Amino acid sequence: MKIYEILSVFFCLSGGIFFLAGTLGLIRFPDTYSRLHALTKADNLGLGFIVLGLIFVAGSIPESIKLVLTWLLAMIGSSSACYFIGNHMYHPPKAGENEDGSGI
Amino acid sequence: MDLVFDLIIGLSLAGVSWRIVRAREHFQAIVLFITFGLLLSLAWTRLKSPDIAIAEAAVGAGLAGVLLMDTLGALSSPRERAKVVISLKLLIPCLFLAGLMAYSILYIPEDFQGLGIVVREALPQTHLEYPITAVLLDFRGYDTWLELGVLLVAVLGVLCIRRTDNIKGTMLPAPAEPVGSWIVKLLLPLMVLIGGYLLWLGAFAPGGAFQGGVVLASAGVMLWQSGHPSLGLMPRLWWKILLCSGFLSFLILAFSSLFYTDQLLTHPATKTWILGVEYAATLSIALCLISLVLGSPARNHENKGV
Amino acid sequence: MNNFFLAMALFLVLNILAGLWRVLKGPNPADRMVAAQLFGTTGVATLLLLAQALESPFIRNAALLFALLTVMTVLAFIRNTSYRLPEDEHNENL
Repeated sequence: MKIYEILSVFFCLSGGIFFLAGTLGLIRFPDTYSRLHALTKADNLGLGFIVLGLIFVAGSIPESIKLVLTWLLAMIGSSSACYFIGNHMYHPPKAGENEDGSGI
Repeated sequence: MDLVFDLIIGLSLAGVSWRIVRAREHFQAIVLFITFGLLLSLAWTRLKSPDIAIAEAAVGAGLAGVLLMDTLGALSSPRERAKVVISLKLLIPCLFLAGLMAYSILYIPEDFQGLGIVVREALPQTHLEYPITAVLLDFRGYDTWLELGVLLVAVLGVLCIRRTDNIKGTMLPAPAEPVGSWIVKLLLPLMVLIGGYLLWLGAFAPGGAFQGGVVLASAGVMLWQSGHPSLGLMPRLWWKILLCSGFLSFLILAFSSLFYTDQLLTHPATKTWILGVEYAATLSIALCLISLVLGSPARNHENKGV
Repeated sequence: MNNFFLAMALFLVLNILAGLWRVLKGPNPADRMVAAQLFGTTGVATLLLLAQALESPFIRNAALLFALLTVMTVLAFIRNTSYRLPEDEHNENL
C-alpha cells in the first residue's frame, strides 16, 4: 500500500467514528437540544474527515475542490438548520400568533 | 461485499416504505419519506445510473420535503392508522403478478445488452457525446415533448383551482432572521451556479435539463421561502412565456423540421438545435416547479385571506 | 481498496438505519427533523464513498446536491409546524 492509501484509510476510519458518535448521540441523548449538539459537532467533523480521506485518492485537483465544496455546503446547511430548529423550539410561535402571518 | 450492501439497501427500502404506510403521524411519515428518497438515491447509485441518482437527490432533498411540509401545514386532522386488510381476492392476483415478474427477471439472459449498442452506434449522428441526453432529446424526443406538455397542464390545473394568482400575495415572512437572509445570500448564487453546471454537463456527462431545472426551481423556492420579493417583480408576461418555453421550443422544432423533411422532429443533425431545446426546457421545468410549489396550500396563505 | 470504501459506505448506511429508531420514537417533530438532518449529512458521506468505490465521479454531484438542498426542508418545517409538548401533539394544525 502506498502512503496515500494508508492516510486515506486512516482519515475515513476517523470520519466513521465521528458518524457513529453522532448516531449514538442522536439515539442516547435525553433531550432535543443535546441531540442538536450531537448532530452539529460529530457530523461536520465526520464528513470533514471522510472528505479529507477521499482527497488523498481523488486523483485530480478539481475533484478535490468539489469534495471540499461539498463539505463546506454541508457545514453551512447543517449548522444553519440546527440554528433554525433550536430557535424554533426556544421561541415557539404562540397559538394565534400566526394569524397575521408575522409570527414564524 | 457488493451483495451484502445491495441486500441491506433493498431490505431497508422495503422496511421504510412499510413504515411509511403504517406511520401513525403525518410528520413521522414525511421524515421517513425523506429518508426513503435518500436510500433510493443510494440504490440508483449502486445500479450505476448516476443520472437518476442526481435527479432523485435534487427532487428528494429540495422540493419533495417543502411540498410535503406545506401539505402538512394545510392539513388539520391527525392521521388515521391505515388498516391492513388483505383480501384473498386481491392477494392471489398480486402473488401471480409478483411470480410473473420474478420469472421475467430470471428469463433475462446473462449477457443482455439492451438497446445500449444501438444507441451507441447512432450517437455520432446527433453530435452529442452522452447517450442518455441523446435518447431524451433526440431519439425519443416525442416522449420528452409530451412530458413537458403534461407538466404544463399540471401547472395550468393548479393555477386554475388556487384562489390567487398574485405571486406577491403568497410571500412569506422571513423565518428566523438574521440567519435566514444570510443563508439565502450565500446559497442562492451557488444554487444557480450548480443548476447551470448540471445543465452544461448534460451534453457529455450525467446531468441535463431535468436535474438543472430542479436545482433552479429550488433556488426560486428558496427565495420564496425567505420572503424575498424578487420573484413577484418578474413581469407576468415573461412568467407565462418561460412557463411555455420548453413545450414551445419543441413545437417550433417540429414545425421547422417540416421544411427539411416530411416528418416532424427530424431536425438537421446539429448540436445547437438540441442544446437550444434543452436550455429552453430547463427554464420551463424550473418555472413550472416553482409555480407548483407556490400553488401549494400552505397554512399561511389561508390565514391571510388572500 | 475499493472494497474498503464500500465497507465504509455500508457502515454509514447501518448508521442511518440505527438512527431511524429516533424517527420512530419521536417524541416531538423537532427530534425527527434533527434525525433527518443527520441522515442528510450521512447520506452525503455515503454517496462520496460510493463515488470512490464504484469509480464513477459524477455521483459526487448527487452528494453536492444533497449538501446544498437539505436546508430547504428545514425552512419549510419551521414555517409549517409549531413546537408543542408531546401530549397535545395531535391537536389541530400540527
